[in-house]
Amino acid sequence: MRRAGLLFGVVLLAWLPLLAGCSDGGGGAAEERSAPAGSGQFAGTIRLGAALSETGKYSVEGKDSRQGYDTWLRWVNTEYGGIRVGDERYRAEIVYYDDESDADTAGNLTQRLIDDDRVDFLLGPYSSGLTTGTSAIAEANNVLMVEGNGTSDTMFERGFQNLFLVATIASDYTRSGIEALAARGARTAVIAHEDTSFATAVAGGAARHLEANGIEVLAVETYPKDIQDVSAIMTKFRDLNPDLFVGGGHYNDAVLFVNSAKELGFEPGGMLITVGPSNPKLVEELGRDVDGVLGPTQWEPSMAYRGPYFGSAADYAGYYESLWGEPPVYQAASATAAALALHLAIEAAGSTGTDAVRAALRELSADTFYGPISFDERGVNTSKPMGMIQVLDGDIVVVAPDDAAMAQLEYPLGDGGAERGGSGSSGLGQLPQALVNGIALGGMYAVLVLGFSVIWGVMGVINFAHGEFVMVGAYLAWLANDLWGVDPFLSVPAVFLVMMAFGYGVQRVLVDRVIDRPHLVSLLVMFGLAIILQNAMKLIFSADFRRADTALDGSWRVTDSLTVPVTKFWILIVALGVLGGLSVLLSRTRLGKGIRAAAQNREAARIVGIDVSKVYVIVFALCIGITGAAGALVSPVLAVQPFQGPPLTLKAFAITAMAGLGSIRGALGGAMVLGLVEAGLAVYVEGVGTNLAVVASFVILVAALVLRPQGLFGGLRPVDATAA
Amino acid sequence: MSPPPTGGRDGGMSPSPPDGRDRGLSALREWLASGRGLAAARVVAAAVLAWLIVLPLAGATDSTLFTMTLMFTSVAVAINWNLTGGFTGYVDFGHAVWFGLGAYVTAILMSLQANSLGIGWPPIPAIVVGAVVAGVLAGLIGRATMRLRGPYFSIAMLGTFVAVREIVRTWGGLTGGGVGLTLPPYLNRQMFYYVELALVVGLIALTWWLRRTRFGAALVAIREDELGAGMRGISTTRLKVAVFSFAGASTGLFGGLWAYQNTFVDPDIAFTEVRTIDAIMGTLLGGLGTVAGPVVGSVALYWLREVLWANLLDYHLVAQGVLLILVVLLLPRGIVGTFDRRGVSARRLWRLRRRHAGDRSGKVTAP
Repeated sequence: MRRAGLLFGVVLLAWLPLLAGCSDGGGGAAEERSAPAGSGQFAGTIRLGAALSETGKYSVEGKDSRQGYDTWLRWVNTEYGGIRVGDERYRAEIVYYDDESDADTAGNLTQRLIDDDRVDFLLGPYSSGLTTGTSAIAEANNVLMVEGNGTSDTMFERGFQNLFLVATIASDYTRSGIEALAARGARTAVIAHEDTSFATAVAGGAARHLEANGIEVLAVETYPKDIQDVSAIMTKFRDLNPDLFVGGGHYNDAVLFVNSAKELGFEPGGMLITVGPSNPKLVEELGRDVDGVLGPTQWEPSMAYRGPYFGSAADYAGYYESLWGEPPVYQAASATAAALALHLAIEAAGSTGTDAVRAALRELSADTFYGPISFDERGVNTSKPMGMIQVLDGDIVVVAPDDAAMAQLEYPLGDGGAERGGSGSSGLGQLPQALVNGIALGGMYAVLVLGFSVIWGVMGVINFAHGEFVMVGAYLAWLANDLWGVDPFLSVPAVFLVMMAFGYGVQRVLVDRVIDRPHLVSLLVMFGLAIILQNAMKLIFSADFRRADTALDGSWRVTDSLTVPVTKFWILIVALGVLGGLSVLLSRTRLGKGIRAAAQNREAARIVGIDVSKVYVIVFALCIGITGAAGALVSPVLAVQPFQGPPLTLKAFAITAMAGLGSIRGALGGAMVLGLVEAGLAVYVEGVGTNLAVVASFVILVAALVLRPQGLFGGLRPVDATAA
Repeated sequence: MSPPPTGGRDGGMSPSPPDGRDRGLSALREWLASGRGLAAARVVAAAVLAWLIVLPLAGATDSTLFTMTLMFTSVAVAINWNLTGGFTGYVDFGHAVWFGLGAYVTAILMSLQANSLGIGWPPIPAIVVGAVVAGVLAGLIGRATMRLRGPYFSIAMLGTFVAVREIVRTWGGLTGGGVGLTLPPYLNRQMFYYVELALVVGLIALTWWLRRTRFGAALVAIREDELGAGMRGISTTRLKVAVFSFAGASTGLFGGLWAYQNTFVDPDIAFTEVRTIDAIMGTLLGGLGTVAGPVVGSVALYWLREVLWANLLDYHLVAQGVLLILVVLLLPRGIVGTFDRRGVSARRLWRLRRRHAGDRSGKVTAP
């Protein structure tokens, strides 16, 4: 009976996303394997292959790339009449596989395309990482790969003969923008970039172009992927007072930079963000705050390019939209252009032989809707310059290079130019801001860790899905904000109740079954639940970063070098309230006495008449309620996304191991220590401070366990981590 | 933290009395344990091995060989994970760190550009050094973290994994930072296939032999009752750190081979949690603490994913979570462990470690 109930519960959980997700379009509209065309007129088929990400972290860009390839495929078979080789016309065909955004899978599938599907040519996957791996397989098997969405410089420094890129290479992303800004008088700049392959290449190129244009680079800061807080970097930059800010990595970083600059009163003359500004979503999300921000773009429908195929950029965009019902993003245009370049080279070669087509690609010089295409000896298209857009009154407008520009570059922004010259504040000047940042961070951690600590302390269950409960609560608050405009601070009580009910369900279906079993069992079961929740939420809401809007935003400016972020201040206040409330509940009420008794000695508690199972149900539901409410509380500050959980779980573990199980004072103390250490490292260490701050919690975790296994503060039960 | 006192509904340690379903199972189990059953199992294993040896000669494509090589890699990592997770009972949540370290050391030594060394070693010494570095670091880190028990060890290793990945990312001068390193593209799939096949067969033979030595018995004694084993003169710290270090070196070796085949490493693809998760899932599915368990489980998991879940797209990750929960709760001994009682169920693991000294480890004498 119990097994049947368990099976039912687990299966139900698994189907949850299916029920909610079917409105999502169920796999995209582009399910056309081969173009419908009168096959009679074709002399044969030219087969291309591509591994693209239908699932995993690149699923969105993977879909755009595929639509780009399919746009060319549809066009070449129906409108153009097939690829012309000599006097014959050949039908084009593309074999696709889903690489799951995974390097091993992409490599394996590329090998399969070459060996089993015997493709004549390869088109590139999405992302620099996957292209670097698969291009080596193409090279070793002597198959040509033409691509438009893997632009990191490293893969073109390997001397490969079979790899061709139609897009602008990463290190030239910022070139046209920097040249335009230098011409307008920018003299100093700071750079912040994500430490991944692509963003590092972009930033390295930016540094070179800045120097070449006589702009001094005052500081370079790096930060890790999926960063949630850039206030330390912006604090440092504010004190340097540069003309230009150059930064970027992912879309979400752009949101963080704009918000954080505003919050801290950092106002450079120009903000050039490498990923994000060309995406209309950014304007939608940030409104007026993003006005004046600059960004590079490979291609925009408004650009003045045209060619004999597809017509102008605008014509291409119209054709694309007629097929897919949405305007093309530049990733799609790059994919189409890659396929088109290969197509033109085959026609020029009059053959599908690898050597002949390679020679034709080298010789290729074509004007297209995408811009001019011709390859240098590395296989990189150097004739197409990168475009530069600026957000002007909420519109995305091309401002550079001059022949594609539609409006004049606005620089400097605001009244920034007048008081420039550097406040030259020393290290001490940053101390108050570092403290404020650290305490704000600590307050957030305290309320985020509380539920984890109490569940462990009372029930002895390590809730490995803790971060996922935060994530679900955050999604609920975001949903209420998005659908009905409810302020996340107001939806906290409702989220608390919903998550309590959810916690009750999880306790009855899963936790109750593992509570008496060894830790490995509960650890693995909760880990399984974490995987289910992450991927279920991803299926329902996609992996896009979301953020709830609150009326309590902005910042208080205390002095020129000290601002207090309003949202984080109120989070701290609410967090202290929750901590105080729970503390009173545990120490002053009958229920609290029962909970403490059950934590200290379950058998004795049972003997004196406490219903321990009931205590467990209450504690788990209550803690999941608090955890979900904490997620709702931080939803305006931490980006809401399906995979935000695991780092939070690890931080919760670090703080709890440091502070003591189930100790509320310890949770607050540990959270403050971690917050201050992270903020201090991020502000005071040059260059890689933000990276170190991310490592800090793990180093603290391991060190605390190894050096002081009994915990720093007392808790509901001893930590006692030493072996046997 | 001490586990909750006994008296839970899972109370007894003895195998549950045979009901209807178990009777059929135990008949099968007896047959397997008998001479004829064992012989049959050996014949099957030999046939599989023979098939694997002739496969490339029988005209398998590079793509098939590549798939098989990736499968060998996950089998090997699962076997190594099982050495500590299954035999000594230390459940490592960060095992993939050794894979990433082996891959990175190999890449740093072989790479010609993009880092400060630029020495371009030939592959064999680079891969061997990668394995040695992973093994030495595993020994040093294991000495510190294996003082912790239960979940503390698990989480400390998870923390180590994340910390090492960030250090590799930050130490750009040597590792190429977030950009990563590229290796010369040398893709003889047949060679990689045979090398990894030989290594995996060697690893299986080694674990099989280990189970039959005093060293192996001492490892199991650590799992069953570490304190008791120590009191009987077994140098528990030395043994468990030694096996942890060996597992680290072996996983590092496969990491180096992987880097060589992938021709490219960056922090996120070299250090991926999925490798740890797959090793744990494969071992649990096959049977914790058995010789054949990680092999059977990893292969089953691989084909399950390839055949069944390929059509489920993103749902396959949800299905994986469901499978994990179901295996832990309903099939705690795994596929192999269900037939081979020498394995250990996940639920017994920590329970056993609290047992009174001397009732199971009595047969173990000091080495």
